[in-house]
Amino acid sequence: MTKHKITIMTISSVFAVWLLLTWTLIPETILPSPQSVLDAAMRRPGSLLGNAGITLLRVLLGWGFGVYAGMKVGLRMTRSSTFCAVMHPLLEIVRPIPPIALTPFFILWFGLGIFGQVLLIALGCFMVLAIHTYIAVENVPPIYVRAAATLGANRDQVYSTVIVPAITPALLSGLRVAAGLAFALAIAAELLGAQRGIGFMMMVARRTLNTDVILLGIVVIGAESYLFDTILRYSFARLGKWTESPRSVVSLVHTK
Amino acid sequence: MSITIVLDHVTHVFRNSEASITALSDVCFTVAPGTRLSIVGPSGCGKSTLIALIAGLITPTQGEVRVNGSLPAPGVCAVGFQSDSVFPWLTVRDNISYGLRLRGELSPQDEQQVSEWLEATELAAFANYWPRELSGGMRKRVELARALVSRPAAIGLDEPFVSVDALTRQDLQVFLLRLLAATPMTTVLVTHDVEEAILLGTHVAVMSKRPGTIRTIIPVTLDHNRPPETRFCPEFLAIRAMVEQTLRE
Repeated sequence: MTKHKITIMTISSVFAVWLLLTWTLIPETILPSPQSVLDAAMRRPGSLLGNAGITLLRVLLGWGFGVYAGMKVGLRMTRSSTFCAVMHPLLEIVRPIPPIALTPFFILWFGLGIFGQVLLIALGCFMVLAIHTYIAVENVPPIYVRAAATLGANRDQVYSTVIVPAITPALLSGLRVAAGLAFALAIAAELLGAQRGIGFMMMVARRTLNTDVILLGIVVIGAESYLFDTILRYSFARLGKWTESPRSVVSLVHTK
Repeated sequence: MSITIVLDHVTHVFRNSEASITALSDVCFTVAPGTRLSIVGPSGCGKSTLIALIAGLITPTQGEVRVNGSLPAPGVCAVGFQSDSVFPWLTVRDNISYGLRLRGELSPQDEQQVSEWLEATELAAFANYWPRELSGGMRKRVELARALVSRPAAIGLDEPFVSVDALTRQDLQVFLLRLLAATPMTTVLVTHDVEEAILLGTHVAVMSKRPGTIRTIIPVTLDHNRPPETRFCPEFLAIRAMVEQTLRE
């Protein structure tokens, strides 16, 4: 059976179990049925789209600024030992703190507007990319740098023609990890305090125990996150073409 | 346009926090324009350090290295490395043109050069392949073409064929000899393979154990045409015996 077929079967089985459970055992308020989730979506489609849009906007802005700054800082750390000495302890101290824990402060400082939420998402993505980039550069085999130097590359050229291409696959995985985190942070931030967005929609629904709307929120976020990841994978596929496809390595250790 | 490589009382010490290791001690030699010096010696005697010094990747602790009368700078002396240094993110063609592209857009002459090297290395059919799709021997040829395409005046080879099988190795040796016959180039070849040293060199320098010094330099009195069978001729065997005896002393 092809991988594609298995995927479709898995998703339809989960769906079938959901349908079956809600028909027979579980009351609507504990686990809403697919039908009522669909109804919830159709009740006010405009507001749903608006909320989905604003969450996506926060994610894109936060992710964009965060990963850009993270890559810049990560690369800069490998170029200047002073900068690295300053940044390394800061990153190591902030790293274990989940950005969500900072939400109360962000609300206190920046209010409930989009700025604080975008900043929070950006901070999370920044941490991921700064560390990913720094470690990726550390792992570039020195032989490539030496080879480039003997072929006449100066320091800047070593960065642009060796370091950057060599770390591209690691950066791509960093970008994807950060994208997942960005959605999680957006929802968390909206749950704790926002006036729009999918997380806000879910929080309001929780107060009135509208479990169908909560489940709808989960489905929408799942779909958005999956779509974004797919777009990332396809748009950057060309850049990672030179590496062995990771799937081919996995296939060596796979059992049928 | 070959050049002279001079090592003048070169000593090199590697230091880390715990210890300092003297890799080379008072090494002196001159490689005349267009000649090829093979250096053999026990492992860990500082052979690779010699190549790094000549290529300008490191500077000696004491003494002086002169390439064409001036301090070695990266980009002057091409290098063939022991391990695989072909850039995996560039196709064969882009690997070969790498050094030329560092200087700006490729001119039509540059393009011509690259195509000629693709032909010379028998890689024309693989110009758009990724390095991971090539065999070890092919990657070695890409590496040599990449080093030689910008017509360097000198080349340092650090155990260049150690990672390929014995037969491929012989092919590569023949290939390299042919290249060097076509464009004579001052060459320093570091190897632990005595046969390779004699086959490829015009002189063989024998080094001592660490700290490495040059024990003696033996001229290779063979003619320029050296097919693989050369290694069975009496003259070759005599030189080989001499080198091996010096190594054992």
